[in-house]
Amino acid sequence: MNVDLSQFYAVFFDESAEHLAEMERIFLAIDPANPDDEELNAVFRAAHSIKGGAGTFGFPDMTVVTHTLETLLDRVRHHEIALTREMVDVFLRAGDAIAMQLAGHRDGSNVDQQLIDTVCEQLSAIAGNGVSSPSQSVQEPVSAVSEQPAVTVSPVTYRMIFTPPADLYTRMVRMEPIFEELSTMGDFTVVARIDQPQEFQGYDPNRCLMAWEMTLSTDRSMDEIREVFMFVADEEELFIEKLSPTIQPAAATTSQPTLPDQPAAADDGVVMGRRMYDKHEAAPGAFGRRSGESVEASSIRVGVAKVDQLINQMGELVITQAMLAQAAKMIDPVQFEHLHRGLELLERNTRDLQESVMSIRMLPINFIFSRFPRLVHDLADKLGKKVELKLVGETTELDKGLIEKLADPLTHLVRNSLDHGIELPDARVAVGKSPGGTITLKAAQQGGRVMVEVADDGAGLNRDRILAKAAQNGLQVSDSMSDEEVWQLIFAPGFSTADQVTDISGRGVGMDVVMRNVNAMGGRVTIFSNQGAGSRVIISLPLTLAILDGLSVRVGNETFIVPLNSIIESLQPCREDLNQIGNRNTTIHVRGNYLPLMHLGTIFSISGAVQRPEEAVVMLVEAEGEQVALQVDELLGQHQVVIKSLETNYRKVDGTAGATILGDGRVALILDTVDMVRLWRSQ
Amino acid sequence: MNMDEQNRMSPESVALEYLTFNLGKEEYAMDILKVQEIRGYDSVTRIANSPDFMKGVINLRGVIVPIIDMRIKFNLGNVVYDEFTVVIIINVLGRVIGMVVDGVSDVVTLLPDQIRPAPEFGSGINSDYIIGIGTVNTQMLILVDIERLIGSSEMQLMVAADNHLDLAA
Repeated sequence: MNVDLSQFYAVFFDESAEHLAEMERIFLAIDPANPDDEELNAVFRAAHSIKGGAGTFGFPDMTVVTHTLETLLDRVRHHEIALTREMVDVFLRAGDAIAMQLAGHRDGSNVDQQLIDTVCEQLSAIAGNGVSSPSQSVQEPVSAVSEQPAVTVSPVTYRMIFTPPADLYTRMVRMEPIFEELSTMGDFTVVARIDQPQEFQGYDPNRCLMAWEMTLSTDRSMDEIREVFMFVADEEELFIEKLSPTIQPAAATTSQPTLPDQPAAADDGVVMGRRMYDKHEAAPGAFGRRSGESVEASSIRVGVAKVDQLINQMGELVITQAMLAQAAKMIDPVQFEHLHRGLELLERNTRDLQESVMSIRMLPINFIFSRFPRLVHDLADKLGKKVELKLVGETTELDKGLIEKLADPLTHLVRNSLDHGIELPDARVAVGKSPGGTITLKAAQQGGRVMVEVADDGAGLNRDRILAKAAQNGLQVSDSMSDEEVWQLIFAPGFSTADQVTDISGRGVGMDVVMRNVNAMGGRVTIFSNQGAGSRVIISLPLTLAILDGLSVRVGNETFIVPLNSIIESLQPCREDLNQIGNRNTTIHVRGNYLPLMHLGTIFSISGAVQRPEEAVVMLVEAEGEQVALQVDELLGQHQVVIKSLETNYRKVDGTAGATILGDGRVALILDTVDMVRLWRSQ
Repeated sequence: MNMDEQNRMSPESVALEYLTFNLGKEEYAMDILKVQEIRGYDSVTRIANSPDFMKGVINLRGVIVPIIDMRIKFNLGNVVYDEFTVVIIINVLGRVIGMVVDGVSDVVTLLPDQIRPAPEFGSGINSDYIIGIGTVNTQMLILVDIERLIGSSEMQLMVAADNHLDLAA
């Protein structure tokens, strides 16, 4: 049978990448002196799964590294070798090597064979050393030859009794491949036995009433044997015992007439209605389960395009519902009570459905946070700094699209904190801090936004240096600038206060990229810093890119949507609060602040807009940290709007963040306050 | 199409179908495969600071579609919007765009030998966007290369990223 496996490659690549990430996460968190057995098992299983997949799909190069890693991990988890910090580092590098090979197969990127060989050598070296050094805590009896400084262990003879449930055959399980696999592991014998004599009459050939007694003389571990039975036998159905390693395989076969220690479950013989894919529910203790599999098993992989289509269609439904609601206002509520009640129900159901649909795209922010422990671990080593990374609120959910775009800005910020923020241990001690610095990554939802914070307890921003550097770069600065304004300077392109350019940061391409990326997501960046005590950078993002809470406003006979999160307040101005400056500029005096007044009608050249501010409504909006006043004719109401791109069929329209469809089916533009202020200034 | 024509299916002689439309007194035609639908003119949402032939955007079953008025663009016909105003929704270059024209008249099948190269003449549409002149019976049709026209910078329908940056600077 010639099956084209390539269609499954993508799944293998995805899964392997996940396994690698899981391995890395565990290795970074692990305490070498006191490793958690469950975690060791988890990494072993991850390595094993990658190896299995690589073998199946025909990537032998990956099998080699993973096999070496797996062998070593297997011995670590059996406490045959004690885990050390150095080993963890080698394991991490091995993970990198496998990831590189994976990328090589997936994207055709370059694979550095030398690096792989080095890693393999390092792994083998550990394997060699590990055995010669005395094992710290041997939990399972290890074969008597463990003092030999070789990887091979002399054959051990196992006796196995497999008492399957009676529905074994109806579950489509075949024993032959299992026996075959066992026989490749060493000397293997199998004897079938029938313990319950059955009347020939009424005999059902589909019921399995047999048990198999097997002996295997092999150098593999008991767990490896169990793995062979992984999808066939539950723990209680398989009995394995280790016979003395010196006993010859043949001696153990026929000498025992009865099955010892038959578990009670096997006695009933019949477990009705058990199916293969039910195994995890039916047997919670079944071995061979990966940690967290319960989560994985209940999820499905769906293409993003499908989800986006669903979200789009959901948006259509929301609009249709709004149209119906609007139309129903004309209809007599007494006479058509049923209709109105139905529409109310529709509204509620639509809202619930919308929430559920939107949640599909939401991912925990841990998706990107999880890459930082490694980054910090590696960079801190490289810089000779001691840094502890704290992750807070990793479960905060954010739209997938935003999460992907957030990765780069966050990486920049963390690198900056590591390189410029946290001081060297000596310098820290000198100013009375603990030698180890802390970087905190924090995420939390606040209203309709998600706040992501990168904080460090390092040196903080140096106001004088930033000012000096900014002046040197030809930026407009003065000593009277507020701290907040000074911090904004570091977002200027090409700005870096680092004395020297390192390969980590300092080229000055960082912060402006951060700012640009975050702005592109509809987010804002705020910096807080205390010299000597550290700095905090807070990125505030909308929850999702697809739906926005907005206020609809009227100017002339046109309707616009203003994002609710950029509105601070709205007010009716008085004559005496307005000041004309020059020909066309007006400022408005609000609680001690003089804010520039922008007239939306003028910016978008709308005919019929109210001209006099005191007859109109003024909204205070926030644009890149500054407040401006925006004059509109009337506030119409608050809506949740589905954001539609104008660029799909047209192009970006200055001053807008896209468009949406109103309840009456018309299109309304969504304002982008930052872009609008820029447009206004350029006019 | 008669049997003779159907039998001669060499690539040079494949007949193509064209949708004919009017702009003023001139009769134009475009590849019918680029046409998604034909509909009446609804109220549009104006886009500020866009050229005058860019009428605005409409909601076409949940898709935001820009509407351009070819009559204004090419200075042809009298620009009125009433219940007889026709919008041809075309699908070119991966975009859906609405074109306001004076009227849609027919679908014609043209064989390559019925198409003559366009002379340099003073039609409303620049000859760069004209494939040729087709003749059906005695009627003359100007065949428009709609893809090229829509993609051209003078229509200002595409991103024109540099342009945008200039504005921002």
